[in-house]
Amino acid sequence: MEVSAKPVSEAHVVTDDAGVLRLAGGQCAECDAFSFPRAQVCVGCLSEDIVISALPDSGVLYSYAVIRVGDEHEKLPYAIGYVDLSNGVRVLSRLTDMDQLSVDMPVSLHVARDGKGDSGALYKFWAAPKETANA
Amino acid sequence: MRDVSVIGVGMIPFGRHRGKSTVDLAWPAVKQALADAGTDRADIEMTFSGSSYGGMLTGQRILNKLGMTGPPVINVENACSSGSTAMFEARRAVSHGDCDVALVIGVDSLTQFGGGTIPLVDDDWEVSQGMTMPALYAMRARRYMHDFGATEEQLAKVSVKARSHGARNPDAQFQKTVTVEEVLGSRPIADPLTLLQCCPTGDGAAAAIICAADVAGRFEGEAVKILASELCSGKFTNGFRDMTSMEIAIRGAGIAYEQAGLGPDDIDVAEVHDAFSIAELLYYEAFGFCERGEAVQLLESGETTIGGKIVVNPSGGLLAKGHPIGGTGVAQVVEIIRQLRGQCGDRQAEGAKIGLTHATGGGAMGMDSGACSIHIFAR
Repeated sequence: MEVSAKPVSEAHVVTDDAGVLRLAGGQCAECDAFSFPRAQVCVGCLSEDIVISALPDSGVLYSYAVIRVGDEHEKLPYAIGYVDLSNGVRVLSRLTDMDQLSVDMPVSLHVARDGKGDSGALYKFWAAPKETANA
Repeated sequence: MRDVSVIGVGMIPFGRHRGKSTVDLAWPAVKQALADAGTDRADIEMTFSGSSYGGMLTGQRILNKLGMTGPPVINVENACSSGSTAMFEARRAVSHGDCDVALVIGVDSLTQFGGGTIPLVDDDWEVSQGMTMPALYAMRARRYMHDFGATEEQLAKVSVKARSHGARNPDAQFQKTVTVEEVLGSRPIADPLTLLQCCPTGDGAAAAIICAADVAGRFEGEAVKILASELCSGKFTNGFRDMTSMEIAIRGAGIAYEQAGLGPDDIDVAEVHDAFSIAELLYYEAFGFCERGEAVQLLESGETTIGGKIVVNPSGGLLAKGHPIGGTGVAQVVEIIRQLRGQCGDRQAEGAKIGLTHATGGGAMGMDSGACSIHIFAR
């Protein structure tokens, strides 16, 4: 499924053991606190030793909005929502299926290549309702 | 710590003043406040000027126009709390004895950007991913509707009330009443919020003059005491937050009530930060005007409408009076001072003795809001 999402740099993406692209969060090497995007300095303990940690690839949709007026460079409308993950991180994500969304529904997170920018590969990520996860 | 009073207020009608500079919006409000207070220009010892989009030295540029140059000017930026933060700083300066008389200005021009949603900071991750202010509040609304069974019609009633109040305020950007059907039928902005549930693009300025309570007798302006002056910032988290419970406002309200030595039952009239319809409902609960989940019942009871027990946003609030970012916090003070003085004509909250203002600023990733400033006043 085509979803309009803002491109993100390769710093936000990691390939997991199964060869699948995942969002790259951070985990503090000192106190284990998670972050996304990966923190440069841990808000819990101020450590700067933050290792890359692949975010879970599914979660629960806390809430969402369908945006009909916004940035004129965006393709409108588009849906965004907060996806709550099992490691305690909340991710703001674009959403597919904007007419079938509901609060607390299970969603899966997807990452894909999205061309190349001036400073390396670009990616996009989005969430889709679990029932229609073939985005 | 000395007691501090407001002795003069002024504002220009909020609206689209296209082509007017920030400076030209603001100086008439300052002149009006000087006249209302009965102060001479030379009485002003310090000025605190709140604005988000006014540019460098906004306060000095405004005062240049009025020949009020020389004394210290402190320019304040705190998003939608810029004006209320200027108030907080001015009250602090007078209270601590740094000066006896201070001027507070709040101003912004939003028509300079054309229209649409306000420009946010690009390096915020969520903004870079497509977050807008209406979307942030739409998500609050969606979750609140899910958790407490509120309907789109009930959300729309907040705007109906706001517009009915604004229709009685000559300084309001919108002067006409609207129906629930008109609110729901207006242009969708960020579902479930429609255009009439979002504060408008507009320009405005407001000013207040405060002084140490023990010198207030030197001036003609009718003094109103500041019982509480609070400023706090949002708390950051990477994790889960309950978007229907405004932690920053609950915390701020607790501080303000404690300073004033009173509670929600004592408030007669309040100007709260209703940037979007859902926001007013969340703030009823945050301020303890009702229990959690009961905001719709309070709204529908009519007790927050003019004539009710605790009148909320008699000016029309941000939804109807308008929301020129930095101007809002000081304009709220203008309304509450006029309410407590009994100067509000057919939008008067009868017999109001205690009033509250609340301006909360900005969306930043991982926070309820960036800043929250609350003041409580007594006649």
